[in-house]
Amino acid sequence: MSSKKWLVMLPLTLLLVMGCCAVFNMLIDPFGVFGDPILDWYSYNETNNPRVAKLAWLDEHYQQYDSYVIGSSSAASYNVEELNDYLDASFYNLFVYGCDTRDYRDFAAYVLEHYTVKNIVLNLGINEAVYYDEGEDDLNGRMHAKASGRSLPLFYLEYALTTTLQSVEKLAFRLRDTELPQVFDVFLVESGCYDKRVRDVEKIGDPAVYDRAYTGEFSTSEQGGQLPYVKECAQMVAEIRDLCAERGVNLMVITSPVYAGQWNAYEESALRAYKTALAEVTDYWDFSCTPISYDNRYFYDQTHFRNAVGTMVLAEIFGNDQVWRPERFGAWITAGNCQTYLDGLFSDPPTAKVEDYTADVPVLLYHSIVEEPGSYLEVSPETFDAQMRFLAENGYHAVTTQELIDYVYHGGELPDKPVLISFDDGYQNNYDYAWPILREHDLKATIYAIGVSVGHDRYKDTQFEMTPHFGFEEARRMVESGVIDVQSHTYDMHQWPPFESGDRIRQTMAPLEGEIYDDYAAALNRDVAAYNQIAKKELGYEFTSLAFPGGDYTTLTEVLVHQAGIPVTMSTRTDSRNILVRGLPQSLYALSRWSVMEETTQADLLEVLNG
Amino acid sequence: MEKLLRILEENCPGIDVLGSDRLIDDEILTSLDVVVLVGELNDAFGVSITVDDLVPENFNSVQAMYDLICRLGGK
Amino acid sequence: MSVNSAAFLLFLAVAVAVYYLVPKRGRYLVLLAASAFFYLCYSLKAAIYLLFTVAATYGAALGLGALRRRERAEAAAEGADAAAVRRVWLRRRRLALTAILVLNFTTLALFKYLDSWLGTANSVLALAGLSFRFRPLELLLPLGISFYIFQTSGYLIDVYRGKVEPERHFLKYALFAAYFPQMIQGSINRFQKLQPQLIGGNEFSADQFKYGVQLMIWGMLKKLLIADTLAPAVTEVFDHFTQYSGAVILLAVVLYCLQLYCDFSGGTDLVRGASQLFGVEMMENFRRPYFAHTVDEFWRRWHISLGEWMKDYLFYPLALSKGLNRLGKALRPVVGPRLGKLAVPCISTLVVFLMVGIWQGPGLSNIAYGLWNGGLMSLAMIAQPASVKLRERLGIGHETRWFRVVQVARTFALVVVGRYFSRSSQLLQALRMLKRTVCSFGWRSLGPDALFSFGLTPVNWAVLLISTAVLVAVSALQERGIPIRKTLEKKHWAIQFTVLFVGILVIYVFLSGDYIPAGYVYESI
Repeated sequence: MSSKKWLVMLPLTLLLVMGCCAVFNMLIDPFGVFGDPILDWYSYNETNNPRVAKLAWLDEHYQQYDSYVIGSSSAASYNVEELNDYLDASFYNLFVYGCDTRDYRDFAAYVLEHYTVKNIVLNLGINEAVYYDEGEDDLNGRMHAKASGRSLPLFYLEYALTTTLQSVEKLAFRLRDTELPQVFDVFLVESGCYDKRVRDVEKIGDPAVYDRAYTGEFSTSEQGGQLPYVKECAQMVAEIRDLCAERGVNLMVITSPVYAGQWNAYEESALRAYKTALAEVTDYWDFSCTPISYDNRYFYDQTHFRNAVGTMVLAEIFGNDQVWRPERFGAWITAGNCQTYLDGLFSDPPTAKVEDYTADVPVLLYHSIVEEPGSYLEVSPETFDAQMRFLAENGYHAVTTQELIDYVYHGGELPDKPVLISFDDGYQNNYDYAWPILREHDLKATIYAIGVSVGHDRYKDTQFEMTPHFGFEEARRMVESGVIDVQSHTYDMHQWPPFESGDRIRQTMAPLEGEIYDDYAAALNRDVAAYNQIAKKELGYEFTSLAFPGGDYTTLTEVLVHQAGIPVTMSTRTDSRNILVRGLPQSLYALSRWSVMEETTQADLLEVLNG
Repeated sequence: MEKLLRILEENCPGIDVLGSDRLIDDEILTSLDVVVLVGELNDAFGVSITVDDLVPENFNSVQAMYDLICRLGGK
Repeated sequence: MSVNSAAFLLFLAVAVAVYYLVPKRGRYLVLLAASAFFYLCYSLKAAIYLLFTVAATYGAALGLGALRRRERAEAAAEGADAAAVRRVWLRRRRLALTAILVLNFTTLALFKYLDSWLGTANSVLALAGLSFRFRPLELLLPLGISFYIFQTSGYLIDVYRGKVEPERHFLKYALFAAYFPQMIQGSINRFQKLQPQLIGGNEFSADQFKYGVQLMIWGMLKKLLIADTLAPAVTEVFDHFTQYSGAVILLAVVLYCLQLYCDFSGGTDLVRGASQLFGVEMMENFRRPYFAHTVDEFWRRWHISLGEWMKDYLFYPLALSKGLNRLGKALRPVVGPRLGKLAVPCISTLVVFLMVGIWQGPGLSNIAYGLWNGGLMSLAMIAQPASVKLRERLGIGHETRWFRVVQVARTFALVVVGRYFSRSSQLLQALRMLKRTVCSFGWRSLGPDALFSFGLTPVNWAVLLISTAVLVAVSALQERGIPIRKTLEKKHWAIQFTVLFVGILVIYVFLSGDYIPAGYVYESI
């Protein structure tokens, strides 16, 4: 080939390369710009660019929704189902990461123009006044051109001609995709929220443990910050207000909870100006500085409040008294009351005493009460009686898991010096010895019974002998006495290999080796349903608390258990205190339990009880 | 000329200096060789080869070196 | 504007188009304008400094030329004592040259080394218990400063020696000093060779243009696929070497040799190719250095233009200087005639490599790097008869194939050791890394896991292995004297097309848009 011909081939080859890359990008579509024709993987696309991919989803599915949440990633903490209940609507959470009120306006304009809309909930943090019109330069943060009004052909061209590495990576991640969210697919497609199933099973309570886990997330050194974009933010809110008014759409503006460290990083004058500017534009709910702002356990990090707090915010707005909130949580701000409100907020900040919203509840763990204790799981009736007497005489009050639930969720109170006494497995000797002794000392206990073993003294398949377990007749009697609460130690996920048939033996609730998600989830849900069915029939209630057999569980176990609606779980770990935090369901997860044995002295007990 | 060949043989053992007229260009003689050689030539012929003379053309062949030495008045 | 960017390619395309559209007479102005634009994109301050250097050396060269003219005139005058005239004017010329060179290199040192030296001075002050500290200047290092300082200095010396006539046309001279391809990555060119091409107004040549494009593609591939893949991993190991076993450190240093070669030679290919688009051939800088049989040869194949510069402007003057030769003669009775003869070249070599070390950086590790190379070469010179004798005794012909292989391997090993010093920021670090390599090699931790322990993924390794295999194959062919591009153009068009397609595809994938791995933007929430 002559050099001249080669030089003709050069630009043609370049064009061909660009063409091939563009087609590849359009087919794999890592940003969800071209309808993702092959993989149809919205969760991934939204992670890569929520602005573009969420609109792509809505364009196809807008009939399912009539209301939208607009905001940045803190708006991710609003549960659309709660909103649906409160407003009798079907919400889509159109939040995106990266604060940019210009994008909010564009979103509002777009959905109002193209979809049928009943409500718009607009959430504003502080960062909305710190950033404005950001992220247009990179493909991850760019607004869809059909909403931003920028050139549409250029928009498509840029996504088509960008490096194919993103497409290759999408294919690679597809192979690693699992049911649970990973760093590359963090969205729940249907609701638009972040998929926090994994994030939200983390046990929370012990502040020392929390601080250690979140080292660096709550740095609060800066001070004297300014809010450069107050004017732009207010302007955008005003435009959204007008757009909604034109179409008779209900607009609700919320300024969401802010961690005190971030709140205090800004000048009072700047914060006042921001709040005032907003009030001049619209009435709104203000939750920015409330008692929960001062406790980092209510926050994922400096700028994101927890989903549980989102629940509290909505409950306050819609007056749901089933949900606990602290005093001075939220206020309705208008142009008229704004100054008075701010004066109060800054002269007398809404703090709360830690003891008013947290409680340390140690949990004791017993198994068998027998005349001649042989193993560490066995305690003699005399010793048990002495231990119970010790508790009673020292002013400890035994509580049930329901009382814990009421405390955390609904604002119920706990007695002084609360302690939870628990028994695992459901042995007949609990009925014979423990029940009478407890009754005598006016204490209560929770027995975690294995569903399949109730009323049996032989293994179900092999008929080998085992320690006798009480039957439902006994269980009913104990429950009706008000002394004993029977809860679940699984229906049949606490098997013992030598005495079971079958090759898939579940000694604990953790997934079997190599077990795929679908099988495991099915097995776990089946087990929960089986226990509930029999408990409902025999005892009249479904269980609300579960003790993991062998103390063994994985993150996935926790995810599935709480998804199945069980609010309290018990582990056998003892490395952190059980600090219940009002409003935080995670403070009831994987509670520590301290085993009490024949040899346990009163001093040991005191140490457990006092921490 | 013979004197020159003797010096070359002494200082560049194993190099066929007569076989090439691109001794420098083909890196048969390296700059290190040249420097050693120049020192010897200066002494032996009583000339003073300067930096300005150190160009490949003057050292590419035995003839070129000979010409250089003659030009500088060497004996 | 980074060379490896779509923006640079676009700029280049426009410059090339304009170059050939303009009449020949004005073409050098296009190059000058492109260079100015390129440099201004980089930094206005640096451009001002560059202008200052250009003006100073331009004037100095004219001055040196004038001195020469007056000397000639005086020498030609009747009754003049030619030798006396020459003596007088030589002194004047030398003085003038020294002044401008001192100015040139002092500014280079200020930009490149001052902060580091101030840091050293501060630690000395601290040791002495004084509270006074120098404040670092944090000067922006002008792009290409080493290249243009060396190039203009070489030009000045040539003018001083009367080898070239000084350029009178300021704009033409400015183009010589600031020609943008060499600002990026060298090489250090010679006035005689470069200038005619720059100002000549070159005719479009399809062959040359094609070779230019091909060279650019080749250079970019080396940079993108090998150098850029390796850079973070090598940095990781050098920055946290205490966390790695000796084996991994050794591997990282070997990989660094590869990275450095691909980065530097790739960059040079890129700019030489770009320059060829304008019909300007720049000096070659690399000739497959890792195939060298001796350290001496390595340095004739690695950064050739610097080596040549050092040879002509430092090594020869030193080795022929009267002082050094007197010293050599004085040493002869002490060390014997053979060593005495070698004293001058050895000392000169050590000085040259000391300068090469300092050229790279101001630290002790750089000095150690220079001395290591200079020392090895001196040693080789001294030990040469012994090693020849040993070889003869062992009956190894020095032309046998495996002896050649052993030589290449040995040379590479010596170069690798040197790289411990040139990559480390501190001498102590280099020594500790060497110590770890020798003393805690960690045989037991060897295994596939070690390959992935410092940031290289399996995909990275696959890319590296394939690209390096291609690189080695191509280099081996070139080493046998097979011209790759000439051979390729005789192949079937489909083969040529495939090669071009793959090359452009890879470059396109890496250069089109910033690649942000998923999950970077979205952190933990």
